[in-house]
Amino acid sequence: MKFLRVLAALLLIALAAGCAGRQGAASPTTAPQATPIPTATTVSMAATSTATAAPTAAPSPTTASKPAPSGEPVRIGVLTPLSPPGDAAAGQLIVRGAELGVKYVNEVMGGVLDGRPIEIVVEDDQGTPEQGVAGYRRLVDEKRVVAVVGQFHSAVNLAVNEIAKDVGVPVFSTQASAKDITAKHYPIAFRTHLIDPIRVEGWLDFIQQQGYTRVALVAEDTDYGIGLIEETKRQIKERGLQVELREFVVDRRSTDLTPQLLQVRDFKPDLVINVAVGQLAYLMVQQAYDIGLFPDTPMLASYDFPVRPEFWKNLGEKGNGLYFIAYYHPRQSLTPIGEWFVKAYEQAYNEPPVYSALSAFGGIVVLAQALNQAGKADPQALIAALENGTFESWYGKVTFPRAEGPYWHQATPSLLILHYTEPQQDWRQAEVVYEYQPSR
Amino acid sequence: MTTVTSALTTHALTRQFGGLVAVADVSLTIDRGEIHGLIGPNGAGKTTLLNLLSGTIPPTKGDIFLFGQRITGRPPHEIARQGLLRTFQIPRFFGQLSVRDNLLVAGYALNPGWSHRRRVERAEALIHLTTLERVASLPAKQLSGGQQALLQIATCLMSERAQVYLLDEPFAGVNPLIKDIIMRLIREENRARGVTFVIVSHEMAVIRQLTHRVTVMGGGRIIAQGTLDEIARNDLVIRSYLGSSVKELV
Amino acid sequence: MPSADLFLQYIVAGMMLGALYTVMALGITFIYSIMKMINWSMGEFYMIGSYLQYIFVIYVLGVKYWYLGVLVSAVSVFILGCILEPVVIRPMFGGFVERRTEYATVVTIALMLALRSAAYVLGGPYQRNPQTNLPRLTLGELTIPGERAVAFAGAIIAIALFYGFLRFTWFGLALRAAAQNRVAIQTAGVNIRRLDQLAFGIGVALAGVAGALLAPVFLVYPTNGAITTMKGFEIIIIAGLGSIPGALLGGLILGLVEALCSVLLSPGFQHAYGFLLVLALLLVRPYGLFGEREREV
Repeated sequence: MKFLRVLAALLLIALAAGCAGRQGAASPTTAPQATPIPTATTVSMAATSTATAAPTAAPSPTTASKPAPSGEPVRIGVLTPLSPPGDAAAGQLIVRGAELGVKYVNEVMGGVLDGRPIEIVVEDDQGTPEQGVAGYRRLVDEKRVVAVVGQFHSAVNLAVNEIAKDVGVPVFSTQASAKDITAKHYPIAFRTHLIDPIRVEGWLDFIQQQGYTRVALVAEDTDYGIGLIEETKRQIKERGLQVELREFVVDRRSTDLTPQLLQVRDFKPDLVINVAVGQLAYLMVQQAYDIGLFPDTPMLASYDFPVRPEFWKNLGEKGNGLYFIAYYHPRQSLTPIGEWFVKAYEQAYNEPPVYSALSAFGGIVVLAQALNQAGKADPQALIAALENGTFESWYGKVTFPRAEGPYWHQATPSLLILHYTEPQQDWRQAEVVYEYQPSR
Repeated sequence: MTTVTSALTTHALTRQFGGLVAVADVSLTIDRGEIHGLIGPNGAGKTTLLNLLSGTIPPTKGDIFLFGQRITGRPPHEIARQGLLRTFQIPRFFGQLSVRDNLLVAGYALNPGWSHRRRVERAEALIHLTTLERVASLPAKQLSGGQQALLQIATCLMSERAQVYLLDEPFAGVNPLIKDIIMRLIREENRARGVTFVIVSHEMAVIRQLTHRVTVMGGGRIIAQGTLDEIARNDLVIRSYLGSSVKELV
Repeated sequence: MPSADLFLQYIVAGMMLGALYTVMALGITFIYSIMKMINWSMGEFYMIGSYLQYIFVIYVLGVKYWYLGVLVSAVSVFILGCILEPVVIRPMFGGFVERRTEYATVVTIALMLALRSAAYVLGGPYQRNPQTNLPRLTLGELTIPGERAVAFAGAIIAIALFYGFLRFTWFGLALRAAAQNRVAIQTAGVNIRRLDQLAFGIGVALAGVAGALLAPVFLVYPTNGAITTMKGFEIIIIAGLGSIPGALLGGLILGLVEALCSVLLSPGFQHAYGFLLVLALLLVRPYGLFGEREREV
């Protein structure tokens, strides 16, 4: 029948689209991206909005205020996912962080370059490389921004950097962790988020600390998942660890992980590492619980989705006992800048800040300091200042040296492993079982 | 416009398909209780005319009246419920349903007020009349061509209210035995209930036996009207269609 | 070689999901058989069913009455389908010349995008989960999540009700008749527009039931219908369009093949096995196991 052939052809296309999703890699905190039926055009939120925190003379919570900035504003672009298939939830948090960054710079620092205010221009990259590249071009050509922050999806970030390296306006990875983003040593590539080798170092330390010897790594079939499998294998060999690692790859479009999880159960591991993103990460926890694998066998989630408010709503008590990687913890000591942010954020949104917002905030504040050191609103001068200077961020001093490998232009925040010990636990109360000590 | 004695009337009925005028300016009156033959060469517009009358396709121009009520452009199911039913040249029925279910579908749709029992009784009676007892539980698509023709007519007869039946080539490819059954059904319904029939057929013998009057169509138009004997003497008819065959009949 | 326990667990899991995919396939095939068009927005009605289940359970009924939620969601999706059909689908049946296939693809894909966008706008991209109060079942070595066992039972009930409706009611008879001949059913005095509306409503309600039943299993988010819809279409290619017994058997076969290949080969390509089966089958029987060669009437 003709119709059935057409149907089969369409399904084939859907399958191919799914395979293509392998290249469209997800960064550690991504949510749903490639779905079998293209969704890229489903929602078009008009996302070009200019958010300028009014430079008022109101006294800031911590420091004595300086005179309100005036003159031509210096513009910084925020290119981040604000609609599907990007992780719009994360993009929203990043915009919040950047807006508070503007507020800090204009109200507390008194602006940049002898009192000029800064403002941000927001562009939606929809989590797709094409939209990311287009957004970057708009920010640079039309809005004349001096730098772009907010990059979240590794695949988008990598594509944007290929254009940016010729255009010359620096790009900050706010929460994209693929090694290659900085490992290509492009002058414009900067990152305020950790890189995947550190993530692996963290969980191998944790595995050693807990004395685990059989580890199942269940990873989605994206650059993120596959990259982490390879990095884990490499580091186990390099460190000479006595760990039997078995990897299980899952189709990122899957909704049913039971087949893989049954095999994981059969393997009888000491620890399951959940390297899935978005709903797949939730489904893995839930379905592992349902077949009696978790929490009898501990599970470690590869990024900080359990801190999001929907975690307990989605999983109920099935989420109890989960270990997860986080990049910030409220009991962690912060700089005065960081403390200002926590207060301002809680005041504005009536909830504790999460990492995505902090990282974007840090990027803006660091950029403002670098602009002052550069002495002019010029991307080239800015890059030189960033490479040579030392800056105060929310957790300490940061630098962006021309270091080797992926550590090029890289300022790494902390990495923690947290543990939920009771249902509905506030993530701020979660047990801290491990904290990464940078060895470099 | 219409008289009470006419069952079906058309006024200047026209149907075009693109540049082709399939039915042109047809004004026709069929009396109540009449068995009317509709003849003409292939492509004369007979089936298109039936399609127009039954609402299967809408006319380009003109009007149709059923017992004085205008039904132009109404959907087929409404026309059916108003009492005009039809059969198709290639039998249309529900192949996977049993003969009995085929009758019941029509019974339900055409007589909403009936009890289930009454519908079943009517179906059984028609199965008996059409001698389809042995195949009543078989899927309709397993029937022979003649049996399918019978089923189509029986399906129409499930309605007690229907007053006009349009039968498109009911005798085509049907063996003499079944042909007799169909003719008997038509006569009996006509006599018992005064039901009007319009029968399209190429079989002059049947037309001659059954019909009161005949309309001859050619090129989408009415060429002649009258009894078969009358039209057989019409030169135009003979030239355009009937040729020598009518002479043999007469 | 996997252990017998694992083997059995796979087969049970495969069959259970197979039943849910079958419900989806029945919806697709049913709409096709009456209206002779493929409804590409089935996954979105699945999605709506799952959101309604979430809303009813969390805000109206409470977790204890989740099963009522399934019923209410299904009925709501049915009503939505009956409202949407005259607005969105019927115009392309316009007049007396029915040129469905030319437009159905475009119209239903547009509907798919519209409904999905609506979900993003109204609910955001977040995942949600209507919880249930069901325990994990243990049968010997087998562990079966309560939600799945219940979803399976619900699917069987939905299939039985659907079958009973078609087999034993007047509307069912009319629908079966319409599936076989759209012209004859009209000349028999049945309003085909009404039947189309009913068929569309029932078809999407089947997707809604699957969505409501699977909401606590596969979560609720705007694109959650995609996989289940794909499986539904695979079943239809296996079975042949328009065949209801075929859809039942197709669901069984798909569930088994995916389970067995996952356990014997690798679970990483779970979705590819069904598709390979579909391709192989198209080579041998291009009209499906139960489909008929295209007939011209």
